[in-house]
Parts: sequence; C-alpha cells; structure tokens
Amino acid sequence: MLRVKWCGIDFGQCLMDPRNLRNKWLWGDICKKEWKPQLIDERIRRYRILKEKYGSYGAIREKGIPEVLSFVLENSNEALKLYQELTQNYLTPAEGAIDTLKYLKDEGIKLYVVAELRKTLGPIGTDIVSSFLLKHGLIQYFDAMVTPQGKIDFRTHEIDYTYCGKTKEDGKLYDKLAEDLRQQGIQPSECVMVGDKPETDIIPAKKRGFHTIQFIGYYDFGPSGADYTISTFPELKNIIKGIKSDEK
Amino acid sequence: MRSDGKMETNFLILEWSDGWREVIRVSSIKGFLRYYVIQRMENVGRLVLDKVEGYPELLIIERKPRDLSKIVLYGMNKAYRVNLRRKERFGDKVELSGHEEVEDSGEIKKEFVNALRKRGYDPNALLSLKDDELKERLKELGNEINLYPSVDPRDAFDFMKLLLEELVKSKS
Repeated sequence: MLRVKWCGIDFGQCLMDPRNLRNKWLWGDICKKEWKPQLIDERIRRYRILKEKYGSYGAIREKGIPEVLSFVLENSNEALKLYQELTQNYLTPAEGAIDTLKYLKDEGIKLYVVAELRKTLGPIGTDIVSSFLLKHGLIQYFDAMVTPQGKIDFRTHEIDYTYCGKTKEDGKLYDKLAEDLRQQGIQPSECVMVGDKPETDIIPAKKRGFHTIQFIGYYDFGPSGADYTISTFPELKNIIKGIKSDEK
Repeated sequence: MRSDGKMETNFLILEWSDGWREVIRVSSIKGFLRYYVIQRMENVGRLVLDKVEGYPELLIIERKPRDLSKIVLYGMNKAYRVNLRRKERFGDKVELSGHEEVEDSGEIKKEFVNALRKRGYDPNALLSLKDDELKERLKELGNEINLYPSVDPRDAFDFMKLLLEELVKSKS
C-alpha cells in the first residue's frame, strides 16, 4: 500500500476514456450538423492521414488543431467549433473514476491533473482538459491542473506561468512540480503519478522520486518500470492511502 | 516532380498469400512508411424495410447502432421501440435484435410546430420563400429539433416541407 499526500493523474487515454470517439460517429455528427453528410468519407480519410502524421488522434487533439482546420475542414471555423464541441460529447470519464477520485479526496490526498496540453491556457473551461472536468463534474475533486502551458489552480483560478515550456517528456515539468510540492511541505516520496505512457508519465516521474502507477486500461505500452500496473481506476483504492488518514 | 515538370508516377503492387495481386497508381511518393491492420469488434446496424414490390430495402446504420432507440415510419402511423434483448451467435458473429410496436405520438411534428412558433415562422410564408432561403430556414428548424440528414440533405428538406404542407392543409 502506498501512503501519499499527492496524486497526479494523466488526462488523455487515462482519466478520459476515448473509446467512444469513433471517426464514423464523430465525423458523421459534424457533417450532418453542417447538413453536409456527403463530406463524411472524405473528411474521415483526411483525418486518418493527419493521424499518420501526428502518430495518434490524441496528438492531433493536443497539437494539430490548426491542421484539422486547414487540411480536414476546408478552413471552416464553424466546422472546427463543431469538431471541438462534438469531440467532448464522445469523451467520457474512465470507468469507476468518479468513485475513485472521491475515495482519494476523502483520504485527504491532493489531486492534480498532469497533462501534456499544447494549447495556450485561458480561463477554466476553455481548454479540452478543464472543459472535460467541468462537463463531467470532476473538477470538484481536483486542486489543480499542471501543463506545459502553465498551472491552473482550480480553487483560486490563478494561472502560474512558471510551468511554461516545461514538458512531461523532457522531465522539466516534474522538476518544477517537485519544487512546487516541496514548498507545500510534500516530498516526491509522498507523491504518486498515474498515467499510461512510459516516456511521459512513468519514467521521468520515477526518476525524480515519485511513485508511479501505469494505467493500461486503454493502451498498454508494455513494461515501464512502474511500481504498480492497473487496468481500472477502482484498483487505485487497493494501492493508495492518504498519509493523514493513516496517522489517525 | 520529374525534370520535364510532370508528376512522378509509380505503381503500387499488392500481393496476397493466396497469389492475388492488385495494382494502384500513386504519384509523388518518397517511400514506404508503415502497414498495419486494425482488429476490433464493430457494431453495424442493419435496418430492413418491407417494400410493396421486389426486394426489401436495406439501410446500414453506422451511428451508435446499439443506441438506436426508436424507428418511426412517418406517414404510415407506425413506430417501433428498439430493444436489443435477443442475442444470437454465429461463430464469432453476434446478432442483437428486438423491437416492439408502439404508438406514434407525433412527437416530431409537435416539436417542429414548437420550433416554428419559437422563431415566429408561418408555414405558408416559409413555403413561399425562394428555394435557397427556404433551405436556410429549414436547416435552422432541423438544428432546433435535432433532426439532420442521414445521407442526403434533400431528404431532410423534403421531410420538413411535407410537415409544412401538412400544417398549411390542417389550417385551411
């Protein structure tokens, strides 16, 4: 059992379940809402080409929006708005996540979303991560969101731009996070990071003394050296306990 | 690009283990990137209608097939609630089916009338609009009641025109 004060959770393909985001459904809805169902097949074809360029659909959503607009959507800003709005309709919280977040919160554990977001941060609800948390009522469980664009404190709504330019992959985001948490009296050994990708969620966090849990519920990227591996969120209840509750 | 300014053309030859070959013309190619196969369980809906004559009409439902909840045959006063309780297996294939006939409450027409009222549109005035203008109004109304064309926009336009005509007729 890990006894921690802080838990970081990755967003894409971890806290967020993308399995309903099927091209035929998403692009079908977009084109039909534009009253242009005849465009469905061609737009799916172009979107799949973009996926080959970016490596994954998640990466398109993180970094490739300008090209979705120019390459897939014939520069229609209206269609892009639909793409962003309807994408959210097909993303759902991971199974059992709400119950598990409630458990972690009740254990007195600070919860952060740690996401590799590329879009400049604005007010809460204007980026894909915080709008997802709002839509599904998850924001109440989280204290903050940390990204290479900055950290948003969900309580005060303040944005800390000293995180800017620091990514999970280069590890600098975890350096900054560790420093930030130390200032709050929390050591990396009292923290756990949960995520699916070894190179962004597990290896760099572990290197900096965080405990790590690899989530393989949607994508299994193989052995990562994580302390634990889970397939569902409720498994966290058997692994993580808050330090405060342990002291009671 | 070739030196004479024309696109470089290559032919891609695909060969299968059973000896089958296919050819595809490709142009301006730099090299091979990857080949992969996606294996996943697909849900595809097949909706079959009985026709007056000849073969049944087969429609493929790709949008969330397992979530289809109701089928209305407008103009025939027939409606069916989908209930996929029955499960049949054929090797790897599973077929889910089931429906019950329900009363057509005319919900869609009521919603259409409400949308007209909300926007202050008069059915007669709408029908006298020029085609392009009418289509724009019908798109607004369709969006309002969550009604979109499945394959061809004309289907949705013609359906809403029919609703307008029925409303005009019922008033006169």
